Amino acid sequence: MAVRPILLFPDDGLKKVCAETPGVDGVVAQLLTDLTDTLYASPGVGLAAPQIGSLLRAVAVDVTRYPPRKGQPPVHGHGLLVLVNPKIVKREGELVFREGCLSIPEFLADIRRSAAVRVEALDRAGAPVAIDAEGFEAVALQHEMDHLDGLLFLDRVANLKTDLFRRKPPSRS
Amino acid sequence: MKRYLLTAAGGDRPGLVAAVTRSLFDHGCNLEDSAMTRLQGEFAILLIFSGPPSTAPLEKTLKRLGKKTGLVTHVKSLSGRETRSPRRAAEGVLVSVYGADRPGIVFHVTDRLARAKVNITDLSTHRTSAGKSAGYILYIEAELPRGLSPEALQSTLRDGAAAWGVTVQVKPLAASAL
Repeated sequence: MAVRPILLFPDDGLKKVCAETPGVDGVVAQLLTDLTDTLYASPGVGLAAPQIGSLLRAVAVDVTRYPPRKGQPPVHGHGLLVLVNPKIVKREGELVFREGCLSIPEFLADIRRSAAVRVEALDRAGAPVAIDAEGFEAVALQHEMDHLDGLLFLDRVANLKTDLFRRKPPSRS
Repeated sequence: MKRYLLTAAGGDRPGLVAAVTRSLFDHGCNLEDSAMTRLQGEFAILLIFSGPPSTAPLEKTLKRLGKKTGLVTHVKSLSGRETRSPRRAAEGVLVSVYGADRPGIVFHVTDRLARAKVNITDLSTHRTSAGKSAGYILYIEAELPRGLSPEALQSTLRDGAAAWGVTVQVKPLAASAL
């Protein structure tokens, strides 16, 4: 069990493109454990390896942890998904979702994403898997997979007037 | 009816917009476009209104309001030329810039835009302080001159981006679909 610190914007580590890994060996397995431990120690529903300072193409997502918004019922999903070398092989529809990011804790933004995706990847044991996700879970997967290419939700903002929100009211000094 | 631009700014508190717009209402003015926002602890108003030929009575009221609330106001008369809507530009873009905070980011980027005859219509910046060092986020909406593509502007800005230590992206403005 190792909870690692989460890199915060504007850390350069968040802008790196991760390389595919040939498979899941002991080193990768340890990293996946750290990724999962760090996710569950955080207030988030998803975490990508670069956010804990690793350049492995891996994400951990569990959208059943919290509802998408306070007061809403929790969503159904696959539970914990740990995916290595994830690739979106199919997209369907479009939705706009207000996203936050553990690495940019001060902001939220309304981001347009595919409403449903099929992701092919390796699981924690290195076996190929295909995951069909929709809604909140699809959004979380796309958001975390963006991190693997050095992309932040800041890159997905498309409209200045409507997209970016300060999360907390500024404190008066 | 003549048209005017009202600017006002002051320490934020509940009731500022109501106080200013009541003054306008009481003096027979009609609000047109406006932008109002709070930056940290300051609230700012930028507002176009139409009203009577003289705004002296209104300005007297606003001055009294300023004494009470600390709001500094200014009323500028708009000439015929200024009141015309800007002509439609060839293309609108969103320029996003972010990275570690350092002095000069906004200047360097907007200086490049000015040289390329790109006209800024909206701009907002945010300084982040959650990380070990401060971050800076700059979004600009702008109109491109005829003949300049978003891609060409992007490569112009990319040249400088590395030197300024920021990520720059130019994309066509997404139309709100709602």
